[in-house]
Amino acid sequence: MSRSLLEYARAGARLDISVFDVHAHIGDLIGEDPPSLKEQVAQMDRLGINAVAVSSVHALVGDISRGNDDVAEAMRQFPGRIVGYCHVSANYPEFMLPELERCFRNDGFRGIKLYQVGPEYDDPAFDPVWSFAEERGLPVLAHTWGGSLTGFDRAAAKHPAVPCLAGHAGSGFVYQPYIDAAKRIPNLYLDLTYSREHTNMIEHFVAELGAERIVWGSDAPLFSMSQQLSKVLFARISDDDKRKILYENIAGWFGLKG
Amino acid sequence: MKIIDAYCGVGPWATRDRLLPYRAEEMLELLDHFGIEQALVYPNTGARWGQPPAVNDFVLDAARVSARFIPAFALAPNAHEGYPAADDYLAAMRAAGARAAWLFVQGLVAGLWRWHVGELLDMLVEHNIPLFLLTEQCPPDALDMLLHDAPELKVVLCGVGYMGDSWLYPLLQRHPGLHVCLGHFYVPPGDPERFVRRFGASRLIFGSGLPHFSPGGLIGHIMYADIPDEDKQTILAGNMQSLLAEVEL
Repeated sequence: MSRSLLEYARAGARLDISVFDVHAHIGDLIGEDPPSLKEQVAQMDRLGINAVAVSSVHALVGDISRGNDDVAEAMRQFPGRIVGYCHVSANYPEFMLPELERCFRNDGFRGIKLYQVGPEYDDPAFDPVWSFAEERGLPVLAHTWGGSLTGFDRAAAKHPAVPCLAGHAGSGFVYQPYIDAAKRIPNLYLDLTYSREHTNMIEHFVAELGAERIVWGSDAPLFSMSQQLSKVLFARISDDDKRKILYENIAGWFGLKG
Repeated sequence: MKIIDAYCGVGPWATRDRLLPYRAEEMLELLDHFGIEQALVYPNTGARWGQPPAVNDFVLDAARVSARFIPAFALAPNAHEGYPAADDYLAAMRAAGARAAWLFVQGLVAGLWRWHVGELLDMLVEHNIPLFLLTEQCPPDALDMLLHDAPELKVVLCGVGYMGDSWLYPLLQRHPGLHVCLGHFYVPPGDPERFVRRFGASRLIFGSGLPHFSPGGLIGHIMYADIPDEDKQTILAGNMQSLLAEVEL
C-alpha cells in the first residue's frame, strides 16, 4: 500500500488492505428492495472487503429459524466471504439453546447476534446465550441505541472471556455511556455501525479509548456499504488505527486469521 | 473531482454538541480535509428557532472569511409590521450574492401553507432560486402540496432517511422540480446506482449536513459507485452549479 487510505477513498479505489465487516445483514426490508446476495458480494469486491459477518433481517423480526437458515444458505453460496451470526431471542427462551446448538453444528456460524426486544441483555433469560458463548469462545454482537446499553455492559462485565460488540455506538450523538462502559469493561468493544456520521465521533472514540477498542460494520444492505466504509477511511486518525478498526482488532475471533 | 457541499451550516446554535465545529475557519479546515472546493452555507441557528433575517448575518460573516462559502439565506414569513417581505429578502440576497434559500418550518410557528408562504414562493419561482427544505420539518404530503401549488419551484430536500424511497419515489415522479440531497443520510440499499437508473443523475445532489455530519461517507458513497464518472461529477457538484447558474437575481 503506497497511498494513504484517505487517498483511496477520495479516488474511489479498491482497498488492498484486509477489511472485515463485523455487522451486516441479509434479507428484505420494509419498503425497500435490497440488493441480492450476489450484488452485495460484488459490492464487497468493488470496495475491497474480504469478508462480512451477517445476521438475517427475517430472524431479527421474529422468524428466527428461517432467518438463521437463510444465513446458512448465504454462507454455502459464498464460503469464506460470508460468516454467520446465529440470532436467538429471550422472548422465546425455550427455543434459545436448541437453536444455538442447531446453528453451531455449521462451522460457518462464528458469533451470536442479539437484539433489543424487551428483556435486558443481563436478564436471566439470556443466561444460556452467555454460557454458550463462554464455552465456545464466541463473540456476541448486540443492538444498542442512543447510549442505552440495556444491560449489555453488565453482561459483558459478568462474562469477561466473551468479546462483546456494542452495535451502533455513538448513535444519537450520545457518546459518553459507550466510552465509560468500554473503559470499565475490557471485553466491551464499540461497533461503529450506524447510518449517520457525526463529525469528530470516530476521532473522539479513538482519542478516548484507542483504536484497539473499536470495530467496524456496515449494516448493509440496510444502507450503503461504501458510505459506512468511507466514514472510517476519511476519519482524521492514522492509517494504523484504521487498519485496526477495519480488521485487526477482531478478525481472529471470527476465525479469519491465525 | 470537484465537490460542492450544498448542505452546510455555519455559526452557533443553542443545542450544539461541543465536538461539533461552527466557526468559518474550522469549517474551512474540514473542507480541505475532505477535498470540498465550495460549500453552500445556511445559518445553523436558523434551523433551530433562530429568526430570519438576523440569522443570515452568520452566513454573511462566513462569506467574508472565504469566497469558498456561498451564501444561502434563511427566509421566513412574518405577519408583524417591520419584518421583511419577499422583496426585502430579494434585495438582501442580491446585495449578498445569495443564490439559494432555506425555509425552516417549525411546528406551529410556520407551515408551508400557500396562504402563509405564497409571496416567498412566488419570489423564488420568479427568480429561479432553489429552495432547501428539511424532511423532518416538511412531511411528504406538505411537500406534495407545495410542489403542486408551485410546480416551477426547484426544491432540494435534505435529511431524507435511508428507508424513504417508498414515499420519495412517487414524489420524484410527480414533481420534476424536486431534487434530493444525500445529506444526511440518503444512502438506501442499492444506491446511488438504482436512483440514477430510475431518475438519472440530475436529481441527486451532494450535501453533507456539516457541521453535524461528516462528509466522508457520502463522498465515498458516490466515488465507489458503479456509475459513470460523468454522473459522479454531476452529483458531487454539477447539479448544484446548474441550479445556482439558473438563478436570475
